[in-house]
Amino acid sequence: MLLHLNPSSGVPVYLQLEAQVKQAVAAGALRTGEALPSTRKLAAELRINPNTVARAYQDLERDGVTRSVPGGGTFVADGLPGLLKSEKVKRLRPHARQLAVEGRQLRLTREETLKLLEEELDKLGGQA
Amino acid sequence: MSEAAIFTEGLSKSFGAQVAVSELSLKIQPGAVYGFLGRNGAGKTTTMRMLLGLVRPTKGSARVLGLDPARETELMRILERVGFVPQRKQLYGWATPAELVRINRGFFPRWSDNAAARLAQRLEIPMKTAFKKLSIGNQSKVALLLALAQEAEVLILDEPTAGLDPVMVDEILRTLIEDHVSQGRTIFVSSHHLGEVEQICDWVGILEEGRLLLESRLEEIRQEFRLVIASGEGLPVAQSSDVVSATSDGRFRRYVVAREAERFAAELRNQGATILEITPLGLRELFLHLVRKEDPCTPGNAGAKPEAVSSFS
Amino acid sequence: MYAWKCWRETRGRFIFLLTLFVAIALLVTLIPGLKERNGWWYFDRSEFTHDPALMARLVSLMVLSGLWGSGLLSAVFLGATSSGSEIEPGTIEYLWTRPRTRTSMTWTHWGVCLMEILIVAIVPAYLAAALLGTLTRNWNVPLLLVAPWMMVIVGLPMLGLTTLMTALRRSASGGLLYTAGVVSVYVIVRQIAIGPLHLQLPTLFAGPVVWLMNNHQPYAVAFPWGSFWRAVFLAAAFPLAAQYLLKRAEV
Repeated sequence: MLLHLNPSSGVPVYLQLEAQVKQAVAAGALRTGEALPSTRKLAAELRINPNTVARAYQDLERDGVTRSVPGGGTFVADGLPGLLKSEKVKRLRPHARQLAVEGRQLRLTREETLKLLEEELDKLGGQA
Repeated sequence: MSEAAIFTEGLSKSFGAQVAVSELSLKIQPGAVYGFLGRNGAGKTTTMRMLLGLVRPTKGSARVLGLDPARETELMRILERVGFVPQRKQLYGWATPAELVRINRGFFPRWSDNAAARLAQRLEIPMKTAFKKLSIGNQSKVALLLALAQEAEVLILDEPTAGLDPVMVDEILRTLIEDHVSQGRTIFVSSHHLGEVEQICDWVGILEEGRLLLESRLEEIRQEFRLVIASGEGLPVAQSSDVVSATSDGRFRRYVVAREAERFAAELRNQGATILEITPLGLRELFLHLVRKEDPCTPGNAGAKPEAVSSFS
Repeated sequence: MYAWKCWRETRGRFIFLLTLFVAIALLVTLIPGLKERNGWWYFDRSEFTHDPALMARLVSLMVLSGLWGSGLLSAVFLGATSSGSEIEPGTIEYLWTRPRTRTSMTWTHWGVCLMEILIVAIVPAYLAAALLGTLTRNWNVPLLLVAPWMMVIVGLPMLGLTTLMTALRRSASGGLLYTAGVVSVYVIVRQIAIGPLHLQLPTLFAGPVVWLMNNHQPYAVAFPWGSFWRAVFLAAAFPLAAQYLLKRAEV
């Protein structure tokens, strides 16, 4: 599985997992309908407590990134078609705020901050 | 609500005048992975031995799976359901690991030959070499094999990865999670490998000189515990229910706060302090802050001996 | 399982003792027939056949004098492997966290040793008896047939004593040392009592073997029942004391 952890980064493990799954989905590495490994399997592979994986999976489902099936199993969800555009914008705003604030604190210019954002979008590739 | 897998109340043990464990009250839920941390000699091994009937408590009580290890009939039922790796992983020198497995499996109806074979292979144990001829690392692995293949409901592991190379430690973590934690089994493990403890445990208990300094979910430590560093005059160096540790270093004060760190920092600011930092703590940092004594060679610190300092001048 | 472990652990000593005493028994049986002529050794069976009854009794006594210690020796060396001996090396942390009571383990070990002591006592004597019977064609060798049982009776208290001393000292070497110490003290005290103090003391529990050796005709002298019952008592009392000590032990 393409997930890996950085235990000394200071970022909680479950957040790292969530971020990586979201990144993989965004970049198209994980496609809609694809199955994620079971909690047990992923926990064993990463050598972490299954509760941590379970938590990440719960959060991902709450965020609509994944959905679980009654028989068991977690799958990548369709790109949130149910959400209104305004909802999506609302979700993204805190992240945008964070980028703006930190850019300003680091004394980056508006252009530099925007350039950064564009570079990251380019890296993801996929849909325009 | 199911009863605790391991429960102690006021558990104490003294060897003559020496206090090994003092008023220990632990509660470990079934399915929890509980990391038991402490310096050498803090009392972890004695605690585990009391749970298994090797040593009797001086005071207080212990229950494993609801049963009392101080009573022989109940102890037998505990031992059928608990896998144990002792600190001193000494087994019969004349026996090969294969023979040790043979001796061991007869005691446990749930023993799994498959699990034993798989684990022996994963841990790369030479099964036909006499135990006394094995390296210490291999000896440890054999002790682990015997306990893990037992398919026990509760595992009590005293420094199971001591002396093992990183690859083997990794294999053991994987086995514990895949074959034990995932099955909802309880693991009570003491270890000095704090990084590994942080990875697999969901609870942590820190023991120092026989007393439990802290017991908390790891989640809470990550989300709520903060290190607050402040400078100023006349700042408190006292502990409270929220301030788990307070140390001073010249003008600076370091506080380990268990909750509402922002509020605590605000109170300090009101007293004229400058807050230098509020950061989350890793397990190692937390542990060191809680148990480390201040440098004995710095004059004025508790435990400093003037003679020791001057002998170098 | 524990019984199998006791067997495996004592197997080496057991085989050594058995081989040793079988060798002694058979050699001693054959010795009267060994003769030398012109530098060559040969075996003369006629030595055994011209007075079979006498030869039977004589050789029996010779064999017994070689075997008399087997009960005691095996008891001591096997007893030193009892569970108390595992405390100092540290394997006790494994043993006593198995779901078996300490008492059952103490007695299982005792039982395995009993079996081994029996075999080491019986096999050499009976093999010698068979050989002797074949050579003399006189199968009346009551001494050799009864002897092993006497040796076992006398060996069991020693098994118990060693088990107890091992439990006390928590190691095999400590147990052996203390056993040797206790026996030495007993012998010295007894010599002082009998010698300078002129006290008439029967043997504590070795009576049955002594009776056997001093008996010129079977059953001529009364069997020392006092000694016998003391042996039985000690054979039970020592391991019971060890059982109590081990049950309460903290390791």
